[in-house]
Amino acid sequence: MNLMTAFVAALLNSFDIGILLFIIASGLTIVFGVLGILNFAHGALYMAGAYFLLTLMGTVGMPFWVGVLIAPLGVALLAVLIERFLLRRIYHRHPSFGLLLTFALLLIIDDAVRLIWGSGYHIVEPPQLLRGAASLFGVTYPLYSFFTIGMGILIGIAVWLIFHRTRIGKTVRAAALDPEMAQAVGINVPIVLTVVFGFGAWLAALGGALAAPMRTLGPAMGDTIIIESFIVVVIGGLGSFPGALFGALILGGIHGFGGRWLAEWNIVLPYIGMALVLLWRPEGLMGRR
Amino acid sequence: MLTLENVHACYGESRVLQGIELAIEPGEVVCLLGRNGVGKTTTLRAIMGLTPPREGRVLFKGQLLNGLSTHQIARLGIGFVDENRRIFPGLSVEENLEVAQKRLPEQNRHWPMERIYETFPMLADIRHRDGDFLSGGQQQMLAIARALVGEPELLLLDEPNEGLAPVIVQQVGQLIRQLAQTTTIIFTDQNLKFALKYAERGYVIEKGRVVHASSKESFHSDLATIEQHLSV
Ligand SMILES: Nc1ncnc2c1ncn2[C@@H]1O[C@H](COP(=O)(O)OP(=O)(O)O)[C@@H](O)[C@H]1O
Ligand SMILES: [Mg+2]
Repeated sequence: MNLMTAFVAALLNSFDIGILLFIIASGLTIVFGVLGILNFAHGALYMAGAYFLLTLMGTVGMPFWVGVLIAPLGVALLAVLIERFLLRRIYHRHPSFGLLLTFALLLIIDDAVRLIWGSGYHIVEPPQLLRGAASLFGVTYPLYSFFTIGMGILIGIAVWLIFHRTRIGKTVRAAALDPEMAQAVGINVPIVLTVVFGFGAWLAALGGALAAPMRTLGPAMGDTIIIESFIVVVIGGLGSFPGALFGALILGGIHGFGGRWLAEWNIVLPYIGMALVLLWRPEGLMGRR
Repeated sequence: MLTLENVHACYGESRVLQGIELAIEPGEVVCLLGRNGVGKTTTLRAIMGLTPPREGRVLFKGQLLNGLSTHQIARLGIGFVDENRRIFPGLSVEENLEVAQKRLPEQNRHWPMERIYETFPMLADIRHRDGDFLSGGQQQMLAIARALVGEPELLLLDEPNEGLAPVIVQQVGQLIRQLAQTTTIIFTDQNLKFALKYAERGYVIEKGRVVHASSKESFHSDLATIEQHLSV
């Protein structure tokens, strides 16, 4: 393999990992930006998306395409209930309450998954249409990965348009910037918070459902992803949506290129990257202040 | 239009309002006067439910506001302009207006965007500018416009002339006069000069209580008493 194909392969790997991380981390960063809560359970919601899809396709017998639409909605509904009955009680408390509560949720969801689906591993088959591989600049790569990369780009654009071109999105930004003033101009801020938490969970679960055919489902799959997502938002800047994109692509790049040329360093590279960013710009690359 | 009966409000344990009484009729322009820290802002916040009354009642058009949340109170037809204006930074001028627009069929609006931009020509020129980059006068005009697109019947303006250049203060005054033709207005102030010019009557607040209430007839003859309360 010459350098050119190796480079393209590393690039594809970077996007494959990075774009999926972007979908997930954008949910994490939006929830933090609006609710001020760093959701430890975000990875667990990602996992729930994958397991919901597993059951919808297996037990219920839905085709992948329907399942991938419905599973994230199911998780979003669960998140709406979590926000209404649990999170809502702690907004006016010290931030440590949010960390404790979402950490508790992570443990509960993890154990619920073990109870319902067992601690063994599961596999979700990719849809017929996306099996096999495609070739790009002489590099053969799984067709399904091209699909997730495309989906991630579409989702990123859609989310950006929602926040900048729709009244709902602008209302969410206003409520995030100054909740009290937002209320005073007639915005129902509690509903905004519910919707945003549900939306963040939807993004996590969509990431999980999209990842399911590429990764093995196991009860620990949320733990790695939450750590990676934290690294992404620390690099990009907590609460920044463009930051989530940059952070995810950087981390994807570290995995994609580091995995090929610095394999023995690959485990520590993300942390080195994060430490460098923290030293240079503690608020993250795109963070405020 | 608006009645406050024995309204008490607190920040934590400190009781800032101690039995405020107000009675505002439709169409009036009323000023709440008082030195810094007497509870003018808190009175307006109590009306909006931002600092909910601990005791007493707030009635708007006969409806009890106690227990309603702030956005419900705003949607009943009360517009609020904060003393710090609090423009949403990161949102453009137009977006600041858009998020505050009452959901109504376009033909039922008193304040469609075109009328806003006619009334506030200075906002029309900067409609795409970020809320972060506005002068004090622009912020104040936008804050008032943002309250108007909520289609209020009652407008609460907290120290609308504070920290503004004299030209702008005059514009704000003219605006109050213009709006008064269709809207009931309560504004707060620390000085008599502006109030005498643009309000029909005033209340003087001291230590969370109304210590003096002028009628329309007596407002201009009560000057000595009011001035005494405002000095020292
Ligand atoms: N957020 C707050 N927390 C605690 N005390 C406050 C707060 N806001 C105002 N106060 C106090 O309440 C009193 C009344 O304040 P305020 O209503 O803002 O007065 P005014 O608007 O007449 O200047 C003041 O003594 C002020 O220090
Ligand atoms: Mg004040």
